[in-house]
Amino acid sequence: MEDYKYLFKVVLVGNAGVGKTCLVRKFTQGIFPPGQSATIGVDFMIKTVKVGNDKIKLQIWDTAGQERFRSITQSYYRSAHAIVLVYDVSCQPSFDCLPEWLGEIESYANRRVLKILVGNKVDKGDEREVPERIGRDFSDVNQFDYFLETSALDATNVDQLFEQVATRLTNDMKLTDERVHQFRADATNSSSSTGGPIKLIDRAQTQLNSCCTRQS
Amino acid sequence: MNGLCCCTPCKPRYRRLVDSIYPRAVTDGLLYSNMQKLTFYAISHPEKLERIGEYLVMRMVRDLSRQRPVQVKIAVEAMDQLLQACHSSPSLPQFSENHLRMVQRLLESNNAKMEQLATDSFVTFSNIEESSPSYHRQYDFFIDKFSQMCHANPQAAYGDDFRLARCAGLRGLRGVVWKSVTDDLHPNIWEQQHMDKIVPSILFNLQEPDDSGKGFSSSQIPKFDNTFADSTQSHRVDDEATPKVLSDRCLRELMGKASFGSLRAVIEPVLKHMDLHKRWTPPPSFAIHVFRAIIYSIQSQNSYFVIQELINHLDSMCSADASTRIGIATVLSSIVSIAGTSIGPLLLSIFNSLLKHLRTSVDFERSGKCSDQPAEKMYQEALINAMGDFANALPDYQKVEMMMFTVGNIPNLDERKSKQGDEFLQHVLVKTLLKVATKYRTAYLATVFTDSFLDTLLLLALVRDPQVRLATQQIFHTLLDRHDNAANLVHLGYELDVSDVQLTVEKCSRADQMFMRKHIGEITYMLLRAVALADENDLNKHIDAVLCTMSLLCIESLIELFRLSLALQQLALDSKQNFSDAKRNCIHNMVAKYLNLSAQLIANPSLCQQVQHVVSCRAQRGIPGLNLLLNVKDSPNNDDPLSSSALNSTSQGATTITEEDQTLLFNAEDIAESLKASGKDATRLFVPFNFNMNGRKNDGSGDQWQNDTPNFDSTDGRESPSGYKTVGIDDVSVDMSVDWTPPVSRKQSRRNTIFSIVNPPKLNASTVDDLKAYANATFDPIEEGRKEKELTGSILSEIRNTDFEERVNTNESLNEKSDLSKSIARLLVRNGEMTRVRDIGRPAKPKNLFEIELPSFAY
Ligand SMILES: Nc1nc2c(ncn2[C@@H]2O[C@H](COP(=O)(O)OP(=O)(O)O)[C@@H](O)[C@H]2O)c(=O)[nH]1
Ligand SMILES: [Mg+2]
Repeated sequence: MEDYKYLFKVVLVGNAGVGKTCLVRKFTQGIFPPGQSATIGVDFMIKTVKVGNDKIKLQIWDTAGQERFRSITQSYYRSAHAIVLVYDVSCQPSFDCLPEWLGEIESYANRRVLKILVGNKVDKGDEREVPERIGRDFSDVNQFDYFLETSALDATNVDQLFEQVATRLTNDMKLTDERVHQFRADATNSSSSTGGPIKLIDRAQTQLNSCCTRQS
Repeated sequence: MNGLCCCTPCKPRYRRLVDSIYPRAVTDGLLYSNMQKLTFYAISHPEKLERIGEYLVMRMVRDLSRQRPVQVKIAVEAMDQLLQACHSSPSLPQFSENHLRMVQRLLESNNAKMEQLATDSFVTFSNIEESSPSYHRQYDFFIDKFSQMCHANPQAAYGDDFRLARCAGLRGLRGVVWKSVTDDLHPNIWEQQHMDKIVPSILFNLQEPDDSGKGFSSSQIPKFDNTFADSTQSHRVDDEATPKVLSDRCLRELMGKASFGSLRAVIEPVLKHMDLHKRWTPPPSFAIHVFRAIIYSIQSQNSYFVIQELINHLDSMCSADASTRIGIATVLSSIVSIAGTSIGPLLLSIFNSLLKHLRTSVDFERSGKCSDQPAEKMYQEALINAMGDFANALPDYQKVEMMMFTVGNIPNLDERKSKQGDEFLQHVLVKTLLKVATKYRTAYLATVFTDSFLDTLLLLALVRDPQVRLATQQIFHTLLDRHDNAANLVHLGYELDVSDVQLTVEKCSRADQMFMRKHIGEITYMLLRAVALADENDLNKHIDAVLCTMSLLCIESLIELFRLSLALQQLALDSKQNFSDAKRNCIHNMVAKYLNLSAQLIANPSLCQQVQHVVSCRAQRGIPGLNLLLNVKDSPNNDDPLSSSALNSTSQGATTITEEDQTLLFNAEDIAESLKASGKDATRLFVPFNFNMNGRKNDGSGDQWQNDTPNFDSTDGRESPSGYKTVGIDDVSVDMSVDWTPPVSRKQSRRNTIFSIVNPPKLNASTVDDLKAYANATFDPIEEGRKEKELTGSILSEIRNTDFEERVNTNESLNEKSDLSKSIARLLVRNGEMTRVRDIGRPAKPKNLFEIELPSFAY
């Protein structure tokens, strides 16, 4: 009875002030919030997008960049399907902190989480301090799944960013689903009489469901 | 999207019933009469319950997306009522899933009002006890979302309602916890991943500053420390109006429900939160509040775990700012007293950790790498306080343990071998010892002053560092003082009437007398040397400290100190000592004050007279600094105008007393006379102290306290329990004088009748002439030593060769008055003492608490 095929959790991280909240607002509500104050702890938004014919629900957890909220924000990494690491192209220090954030992701997030690097505020033109080349290189070296430069102000690449997240996650999920189906079919064919293997597969399926919140 | 075309007449009955609860007008509320019909139907048709739920949720979702809040509310209300009405329905599990789906939908709406609605509904749900377990249910989203609501931002989505949102978040989290702990199959709520969200969310609200000001204050939080509050489920909405109050309650509930196994998962996020939010920085009032709440809420047998976690945290913070470490130590010290007795077996390990931290800090401070020495000192202070508070919370026998342990950690007392940092560590540890000692209330001297402990203290009283010496005297004060007299004696003046000092004097126990008999020699020797070492720069403090120890000894036990007084006087006269006149005078005054005190305490009129005479002679001589009467009110001399003029005329530049000024000195013979007149055996008064500034050990000449005290039986390495000594007044206690009857024979002057020796004592001065003759005889230290050894030998052989029964009998026949049964009882006490002394007196390798045999009186 649910009206979506998959639900994914997306977590945004990065230094305070790089524009995470603005990106989420722009995407979910279509507005660039004026006089936005710093996020406290975590913020939550939900948005449904279409990937092909499938409705995909994105749970977006926007975290506070400040050090003092690190413990609450880290706790959201674990169950994330995708982590979007944001820096400000007009702020070199926000780029310099990326290795630190990467370390956090490594220690707290799922090993197979989708990692996306985003350089925000490209609208700032002359004030740019981090060339696109540098950002892209960093993302390649550190095995990010995707790199993109955005602007929450003029909406450059904002929708594209989240569409990419949804598409990539959906494709991954479909692949896994197929594999599970295949596996289950094989298992049923080979040993339909014994209960053991089937039980195991059921268990795998349950786990999968619980971790991806797949609903249909 | 099935079944949206519901206008057909063939619509199932349950759908029609559901539809009927919605009013025609979109603004009206739930139609209660129809709701009753629906409820009745659901109860009587349990198989339809799941369908009803599905249908209601479907309508709710549709209304939500069309932004019709009133309709949404109706659906939620209906769901809640059905949930409550059908709590025993067999299809409740399926219905619950629908209900939770509805709550989740509402929580995803990004609408503060809907979130409130969702939370209330969730809380309703969490109060329902489900009969069948829910295997697959996951609360992850609810925990995520409620935690987020706990951080509602006033400047963003929530606006002015942010407090409502935060309260809702907290109530939701509490609901999740309730639900999980009542459901045995849901222990996973205690997993780290959930606690990492729940705990910081609670703490964040608890720490929020009030509108009034910054900083944490617990004033607005209702107190429920001490009174074991059964806050579980008994929440009243009006009490929980603010996130702060509510979060405090949530924290306590959470901690109260945590089992031992899940404590780590709960405590670790607390520590992390304090780190990240810099809540250790002094004054760590917030951290203290939280940890007190924790200790009060958890099961008391788990308290030690929290303390251990804090100490581990301190370990991990050893390179952090001193302020952080000060904060942690402060928190520790404010909770150990609550955790108190429940700490039990881990006591020593905790204490050891604290000591280790203290050592580390001392090393760090000495290393030169420390940038902020005052802060480091404060940290040490905080640790010492923590240890003191810790000791305070423990039963007395454990305090003794801790003191032994501290002493065992004091580095090499042999000054020649000591390293650079050792002296400083000594200083810190003696302070620690003092702190612990002040929390201890001595019952029996022997319980606390075990051999090794006393030995260490005696060494500490004479080390190079004057501060350590002073602190050691203070340790003696606090441990000797059983009747709260110390406060009146710390700066004892010359009291014309000692009853003004308001001392409490009580008869001293047998056990203490035995202890004193055994150790007084060492103690007085230490006092003598301590005076000689007294720091010239801080003379009064040091001399007063020794005087205080003497006075306490006198009150608590004895007057061997008369001998010490005379030795002190001798010391002050000794031209070989490199003392300033001020110091000499100070010692003279001290002796006068002490003699005055003890003379009055033992109520000896002639002694009092002597003392007064000497003091007034001194006052008349007018040597500056020696007139004790100057500060005494009501003194007859003060009325005498001559005394001040005499001061100028006669002093003639003399600045202290010399040996010739007999009238200004206390005379040993006169004192002996007075003591004897009141029935005390004063012979030992004339045994001089062997005073050797260069080393503690003397070589068998003069004073024999080392040889004559514990008789050491070399064959089995055990001390013989006799403790017999040469005749003296050492064991005559002031307290005993209360019921004193003048003795005619030496037998009655001995306490340990059972081991008394047939050999006559060296001297039985029954007349003044005898005494004088003895005193005037040339003193041959070597001969004395020989005699002493002989005596010791004879005692030993007597004890070795005669069996116990025989000795008892001999003794019995010797002394008809002694009561055998009493003697045996005494003997047993004494033996108990010995066993214990042997057993605990090993500070270097402290024993497990439980292996120690404690005498019954130690409890
Ligand atoms: N010029 C420009 N400013 C932006 C952009 N995104 C955010 N900002 C500004 O950067 C500041 C911080 O944004 P915010 O979203 O709160 O950052 P967060 O702390 O990462 O959530 C705000 O003043 C925004 O107006 C952008 O794309 N372009
Ligand atoms: Mg933000």
